[in-house]
Amino acid sequence: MNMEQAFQTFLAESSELLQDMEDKLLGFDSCDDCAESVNSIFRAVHTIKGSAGLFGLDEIVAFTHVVESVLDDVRSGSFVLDEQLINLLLQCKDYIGKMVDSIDGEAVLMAPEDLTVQAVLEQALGVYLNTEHSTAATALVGIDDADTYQSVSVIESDSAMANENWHISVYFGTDVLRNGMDPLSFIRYLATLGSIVHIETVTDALPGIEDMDAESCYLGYEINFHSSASKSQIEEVFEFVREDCQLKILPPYAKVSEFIDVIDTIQNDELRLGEILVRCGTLTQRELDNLLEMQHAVKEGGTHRLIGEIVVEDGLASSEVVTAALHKQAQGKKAKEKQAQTVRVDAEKLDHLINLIGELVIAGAGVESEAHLTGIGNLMESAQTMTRLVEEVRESALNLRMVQIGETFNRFFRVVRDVSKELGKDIDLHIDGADTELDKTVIEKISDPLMHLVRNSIDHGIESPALRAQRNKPATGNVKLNAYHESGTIVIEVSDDGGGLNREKILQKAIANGLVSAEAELSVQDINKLIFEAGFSTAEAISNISGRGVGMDVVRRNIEALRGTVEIDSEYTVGTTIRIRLPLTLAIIDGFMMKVGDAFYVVPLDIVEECIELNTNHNVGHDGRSYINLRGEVLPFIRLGDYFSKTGGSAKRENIVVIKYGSLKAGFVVDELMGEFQTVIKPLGPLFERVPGISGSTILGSGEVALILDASSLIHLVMQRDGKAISAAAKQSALH
Amino acid sequence: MNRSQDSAGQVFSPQGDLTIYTAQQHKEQLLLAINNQTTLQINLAEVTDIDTAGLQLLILAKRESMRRNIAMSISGHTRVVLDVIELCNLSGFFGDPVFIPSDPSDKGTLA
Repeated sequence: MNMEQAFQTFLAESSELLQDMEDKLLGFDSCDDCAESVNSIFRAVHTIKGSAGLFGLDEIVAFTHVVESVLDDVRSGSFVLDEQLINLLLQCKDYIGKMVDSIDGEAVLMAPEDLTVQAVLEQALGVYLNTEHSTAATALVGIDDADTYQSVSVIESDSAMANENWHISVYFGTDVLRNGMDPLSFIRYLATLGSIVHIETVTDALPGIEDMDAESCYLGYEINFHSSASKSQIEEVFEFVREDCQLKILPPYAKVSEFIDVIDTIQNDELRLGEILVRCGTLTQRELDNLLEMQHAVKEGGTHRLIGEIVVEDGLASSEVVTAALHKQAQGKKAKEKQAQTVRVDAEKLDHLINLIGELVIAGAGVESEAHLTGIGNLMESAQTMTRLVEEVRESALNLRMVQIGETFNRFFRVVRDVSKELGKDIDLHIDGADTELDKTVIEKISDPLMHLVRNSIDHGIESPALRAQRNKPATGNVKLNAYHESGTIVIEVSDDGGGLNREKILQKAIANGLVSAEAELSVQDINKLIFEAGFSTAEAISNISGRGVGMDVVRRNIEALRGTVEIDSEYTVGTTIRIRLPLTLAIIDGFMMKVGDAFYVVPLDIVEECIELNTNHNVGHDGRSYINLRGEVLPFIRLGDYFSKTGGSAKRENIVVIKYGSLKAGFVVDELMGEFQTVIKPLGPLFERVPGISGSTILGSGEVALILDASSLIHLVMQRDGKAISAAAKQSALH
Repeated sequence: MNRSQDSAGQVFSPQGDLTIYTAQQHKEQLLLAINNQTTLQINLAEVTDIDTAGLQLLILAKRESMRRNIAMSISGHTRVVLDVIELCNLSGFFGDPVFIPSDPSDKGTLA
């Protein structure tokens, strides 16, 4: 992996970690395992710090370090993660995200105002760190004493776990103090990375009082250290004195040979050091005895270099090696299992695959139709098998792009929390259908409009607590996000139990703005939809959250760009539900093909309700009023041939395809029904993009082009036309 | 810096910071205090700060007095001194009774 790739991974990983951190922070009040939550929040910050360090992003390292320190104190129980701290950490999370986003090339580029934000955050974090310090100082005498005063007994009972800890052996150079560094501060800093189980101060190097230079450093420390930090992180603690000290860090489950190595290189008096190691709890007495014996044997044999080999040959030592190896294996296996769960794939590669499969579908259709023409049975059978397989491949390829909407929904917890706090409202967010899947591209494009709708619900929808009390509603407002599948579309609902739309006010405002004429007769839906007009706002006050009258029209445009529609159900003083209906996928659909004259048309199969023959009894629509009686229901229909101005003799038998879109039903009259067809949607050229009634095209196996009908716009067209016709008829009858 | 002779022997009571900046002076004082005595008392009540250099001096004093068979005791541990001694796990080494100041904010120190 080259640096650039690694960097991309860092960016992706950071945003995931930050998201995880936010989820954990927001869910902290209701989580079962608070300690685990704190741990994973800590890990998130810690990992970002580590990775940022790898890329030399010092600003991020510096800031995350402060956050990490605070979290570490939370982890060790110095103080609890309360509401205030959660808020602060959320802000820190945002700021880290901002820093990561601002990375340009190899440096973090933050605007000056952001730096003041950073200063404020750091100061706020500092408050926690300082209070921690004083408590830590008292804790030293209190809690740590349990370790030190009764060190012997503690170590004995600890001996079984002793191997789990790091052993750090550090001997400071004589000039360390003169260079302005205090070994104690390194030990203190080390303690922030984990817990010092036992520390021994080695004073053997201290000379007699006459020879001693008060400004030289003679001390060394043997430390039994419990921490989840990595070796390099521990090494970093001593970074400033690395040149000036003898440092040995033994990982947990270190091999006996490594201890021998420490004893050999650091200390001449091995008995003394061995004792220290035992006192630290790093080694048990038995292990030490064995070790010294072995070392002795090795020295006597004069084969000093072969320590490792002899150690391995020894029964006890190899068991330790085996333990270490097993531990490492277990870790490796865990990592592998995690990798197997998800594979990170470049979105571009996935798009390419989908494209290819699209082409394969087209080619497959070609092969099948050619095979039919030859009339060879075997060939037809093979072609069919292939088509079935291609279908399956298509299904699973499309599934690759499907993601659950839950993650997008969960983001709104934060929004609801922040915005409701800002507005002084108490609002709960409820989420349903989080496991509903839809295309990743759709999800990406829908999250902004959703955000807008949710903010709108909070700001305009939910009333102030006072007004809610007046209306006999519970003080806590509810905003609900819901997603479900319905006839080939996905429906996303944003509902609230707030004030609802005041239709009279909307209508007045719309008339005042000239959006509608005063005498227009508008249906309830039409009035509701006025809020999606550009520049429309009934809010008396413009807040910085919403109310400027821009936004809702953008929401509508975004949704329409995804071939989706918006509906509003609203009752004044009771609540509002905004329903977004979107196609499941953008690339390939199961289509239903029809033929008018020599032209092919495709509609998504899921919206086709039924197909019936249009017989003469039905055929009443010569004056443009086209509707039939479908089992007692009025079904308006449209002649596709007329609509697309296809001239040509009408076929002997016409068929009517009944389409259902949302709550609307309409019929398309066509000459021939061609049946199910896998449709790869190809966008129309820019010239035809705005043609109403067509949403795309597809290429048939024969190389011919079929148009994909935009069912929603056609149905609305039918409804409008009939609405006008009906009102025209009504007016006429009124005149008579 | 006070060095006074009382009935129990020499008292060494450094004042202010017991750090690298003052270590050399303190060491000389200590050397004077330890010479030709049978007992040595170190009173740290006036110590405001201590670092590794200061700690080394205390260790030196302890070791030297052990070598010369002088009864040495340290008293008047202040918070900063205690912190350092605890951090380095040297309270056993010095073996002095430690008086823990009762401070309302020091919850659990006597546990």
